[in-house]
Amino acid sequence: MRPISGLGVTCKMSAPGIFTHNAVAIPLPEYSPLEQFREALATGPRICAFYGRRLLQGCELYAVWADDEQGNLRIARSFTEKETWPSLTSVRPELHLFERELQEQTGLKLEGHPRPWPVRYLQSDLSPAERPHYQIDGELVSEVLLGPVYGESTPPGLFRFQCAGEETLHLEASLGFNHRHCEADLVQTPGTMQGRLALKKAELVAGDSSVAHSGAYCQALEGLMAVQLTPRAQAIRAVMLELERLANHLGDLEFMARAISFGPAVTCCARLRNDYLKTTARLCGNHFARGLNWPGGISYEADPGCLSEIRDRVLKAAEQTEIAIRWFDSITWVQNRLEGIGIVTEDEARQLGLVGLSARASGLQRDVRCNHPLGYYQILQIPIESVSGGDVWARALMRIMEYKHSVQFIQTALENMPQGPMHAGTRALKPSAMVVSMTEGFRGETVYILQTDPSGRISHCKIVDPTFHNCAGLEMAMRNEAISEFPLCLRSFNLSFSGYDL
Amino acid sequence: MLRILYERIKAGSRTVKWPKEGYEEAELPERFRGLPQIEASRCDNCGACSKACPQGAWLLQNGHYQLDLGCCIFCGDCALVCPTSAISYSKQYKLAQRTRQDLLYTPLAPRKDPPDRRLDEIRRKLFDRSLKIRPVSAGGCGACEAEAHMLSTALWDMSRFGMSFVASPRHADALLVTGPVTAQMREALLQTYAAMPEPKLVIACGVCAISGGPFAFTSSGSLNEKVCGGVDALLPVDLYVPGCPPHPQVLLDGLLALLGRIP
Repeated sequence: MRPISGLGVTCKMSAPGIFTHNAVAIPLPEYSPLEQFREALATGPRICAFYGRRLLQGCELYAVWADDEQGNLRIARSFTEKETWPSLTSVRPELHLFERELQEQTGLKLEGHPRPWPVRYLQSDLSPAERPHYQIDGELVSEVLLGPVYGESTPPGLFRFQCAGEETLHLEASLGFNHRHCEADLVQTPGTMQGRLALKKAELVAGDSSVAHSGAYCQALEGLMAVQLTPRAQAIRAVMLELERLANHLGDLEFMARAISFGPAVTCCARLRNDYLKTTARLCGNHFARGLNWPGGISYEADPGCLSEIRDRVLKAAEQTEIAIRWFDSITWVQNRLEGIGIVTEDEARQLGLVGLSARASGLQRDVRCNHPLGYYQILQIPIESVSGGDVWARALMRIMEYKHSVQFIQTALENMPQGPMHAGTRALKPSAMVVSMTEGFRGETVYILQTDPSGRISHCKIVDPTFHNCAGLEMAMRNEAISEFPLCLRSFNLSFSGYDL
Repeated sequence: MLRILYERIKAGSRTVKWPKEGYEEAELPERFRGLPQIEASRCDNCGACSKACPQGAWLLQNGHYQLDLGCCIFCGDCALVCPTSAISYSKQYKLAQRTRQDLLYTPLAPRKDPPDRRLDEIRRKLFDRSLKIRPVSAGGCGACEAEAHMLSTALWDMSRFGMSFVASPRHADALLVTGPVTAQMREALLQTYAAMPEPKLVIACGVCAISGGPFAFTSSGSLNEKVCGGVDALLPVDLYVPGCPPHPQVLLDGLLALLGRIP
């Protein structure tokens, strides 16, 4: 077995916690000794989530590791009475945001963290310009502050560039402007009115990725209910997730073409994006598949006429997409313009813990659909693709490759659509249990972790949007890059700051 | 280059025909949920819709159920639970209104005179041939922003009406706000508004921008302190565009009606 973490230490069997799979509920793990827990954090496989919960006395710590090769997850729980947390970021860089979030959410003071400031500035009155930041001293170093209102149709964020002339030495993204109290609001038990509102809010955590978010949330609830989706519902969920991916990938290509003033591709990709959105709307009545996923099934009636129409539309749009994609592929100046910009090497991507498309563009094989498949992805496999460039061109190329697989997947799934009911019913939630549910949204791994109390009500919810992992990728990509390339790099990552801020 | 030109010409014009006569529903999805209708003969005022609405948008007023379009997320749950199937969603897309009051809609006792959606004459004359819009996401989830962006693409092509998005508030006539205005975006939004030259318009796009939407209250039922609950708590709003998110046609219809270019 090849080493998994950046430190080259493989997962030990004596490691703390319980092994599980995607969306399989387990009883709450026993407390592991803190030393063992920290050891595992520093050396274990890829970290999916790391967070804390304040208790009356002390603080509970949870960590989830994903072993992508074995296809399993490991959940461990530990406990600390101290008010401090000695930082592990210097040995495990992918923990850096999780540790900052831990400090902000539980009040545990970080020790030895290189940048121990808040993630979302929830309890702070600082104006954006006053926020703490990493600064480079020097006569020739200038600082550029961008945001929170910047650019056209961009999500609010604050970017601080440390530049020497045109060259960016360091970029720091400071977010929190989108915080809407989502995570705490999802702590609701399904079946009640508040539970239904929580489902609507899960769709809005990142509104353009609502199938992935509501899908992960529903999967988690189904795991806790031990409900198995009907094959038809599984297939439709997967088809809608792929349709969402198609629409958004085309949208990203449009924005990237816009950033390099490649006019014909802008108009063409925008139109195709709309074609895929309209295909989603054929089933759901709106462009973003709102109201599609329910715990236990699918809410919309998918009659054969509707499905065959979806298939025809995807086929027709795919033909047109082929033409637009050829422009990207075959025109040399486009490739020249995009190549070598915003490079994140494979090693950097692994150390920063990138997920999804951005990780695959840097050569990492990280895809929930293949590594931790669930539902229809277990039946119909989708090939995992990766390219090794790590630059903007690689991320554009990844979108082009994934579009082809998604179209293929949708075609096959719709041709072999299983028959049967759409809803498997619901049951009571398992008490004192915990579940980790992941879906591969178009940005990457979307994780929902739910926990129940002894009476079978949801007691805690943790959301990890892919942007939480990938934001560091953007910061890394801008290193030693001209500041004018920022729009292009930003679009090539397409981060959802509302998913990051929750 | 020539091949691109050839392929572009072959593809032809894809701009939607609406608002030409006869194309009202051409771009709307088959299952589009527009203005809900209640069939009077079937409705027995049982209140199932009101109980099922996750947003609490259906309220009993003067013996009739009234829907607050500024809270409705068009999820369709009320139509699902209605025991007599009296509620159905029509394809009526003319949802945008000038005032918050006009968004209160009573299906069984509709207003005799439809509300005037036009801007006052002075500003209308100024803007009706050229309107520069600065979109600002004030905590939006990304869907309203994406739908608004659709208007600037060749498909909806709002520039044929003299409207376009601009990057600087200094160049803008209108501020298009999406999202529930989070506490952290409050100051930035006010500063953006202050940077715009007079006279200026504010458009609240989407249910979050109108009333805070699903984020107005926390799950415990208390007011959500992390959001300001809509733009009109801070700025005078000239146009409310309901929907979660509003379909591009709903938004464009609102803008054109505001400028008096369509009724």
